[in-house]
Amino acid sequence: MASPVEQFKLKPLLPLEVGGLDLSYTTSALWMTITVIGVTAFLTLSMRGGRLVPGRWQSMAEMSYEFIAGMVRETVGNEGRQYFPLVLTLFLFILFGNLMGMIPYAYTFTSQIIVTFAMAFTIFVGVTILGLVKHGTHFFTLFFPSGTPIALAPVLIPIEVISYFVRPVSLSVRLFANMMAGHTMMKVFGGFVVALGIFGVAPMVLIVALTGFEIMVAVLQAYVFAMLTCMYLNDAINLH
Amino acid sequence: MDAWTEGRRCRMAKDDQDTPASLDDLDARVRAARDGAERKSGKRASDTAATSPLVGMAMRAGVELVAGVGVGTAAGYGLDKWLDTSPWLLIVFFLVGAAAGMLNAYRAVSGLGMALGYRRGTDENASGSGRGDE
Repeated sequence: MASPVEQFKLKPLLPLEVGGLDLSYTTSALWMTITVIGVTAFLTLSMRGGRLVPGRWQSMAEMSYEFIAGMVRETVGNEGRQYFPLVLTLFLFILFGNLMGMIPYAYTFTSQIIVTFAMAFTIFVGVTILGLVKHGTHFFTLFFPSGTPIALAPVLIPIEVISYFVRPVSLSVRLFANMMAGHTMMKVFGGFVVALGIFGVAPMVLIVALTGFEIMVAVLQAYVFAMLTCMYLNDAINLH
Repeated sequence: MDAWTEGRRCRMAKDDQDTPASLDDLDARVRAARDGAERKSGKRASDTAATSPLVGMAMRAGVELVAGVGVGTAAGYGLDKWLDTSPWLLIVFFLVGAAAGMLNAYRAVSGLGMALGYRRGTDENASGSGRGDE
């Protein structure tokens, strides 16, 4: 029987090496490509009709658009409007990646820490640069809010600085850990079904429940990622 | 021409017929909604609490705790290696990282007014001071 973590193994599909760097086109990259094509197809094909009274597909596309638009407006305010494309892209990319990972034999690229960390770190660096450009040195008041007694500075500033640097880590680990744990758990219970023979009905029932739970987690984690991106943008744009 | 395109054409024709009245109506409603949105944009985040799922916030807190300790320890270890002060910075940064993790977890729960109704129904004043400590 295959090990439960076998599913996370990367298989190079098109081996490619440039200057000692392994740039192979892997299963992970393949599913990222499929996700990008899927999201593009979802948005363009469903909006092709563009009717005043939307159909089923158009409703879904409009709902995801309005959901993120509302999130950006409520969290960041009107200044956040220009960052809406970024948040929508991130949300749909992660959402489709998570959900497509639920298809049997598909590869869940969000279960790779390097993929989620790359996204989280890009957001972290981008938001920091945005804050510095927008507010200059005033940006550093984020680490020492006004009204705090000056005696607390030596304690508070290191804590605030560390808690700022924790952001990309917690953002990426949350998504990666949820996806990886969920898929491993499903595989483990899948192994039980095979091993137990006729009594495998019990873990089978559990897998049905677990699949529903995993779909919820897939949507929820995409939401949390987008929500936190909005909150970090808000911190950078409107310093408190 | 099959039934599907026929049906669509019918519907479009119907849309065309009643557009004048319904478009005016829609325009008025869009304008009203936009005015409302503009007024609301001043006080952000205070009303997201009601719409954001509680589970999402619950899942955040645990990761924040672990990530805080992890990043603090890694930073301490790295600085120790660099400055050759082992193990003092590791100890200090472990504690600072743990504090940062707790702070982040606390914020994940209370920052959005998610602490079981705490700070939820309060007025502008309270939510303003609440955001101040973020």
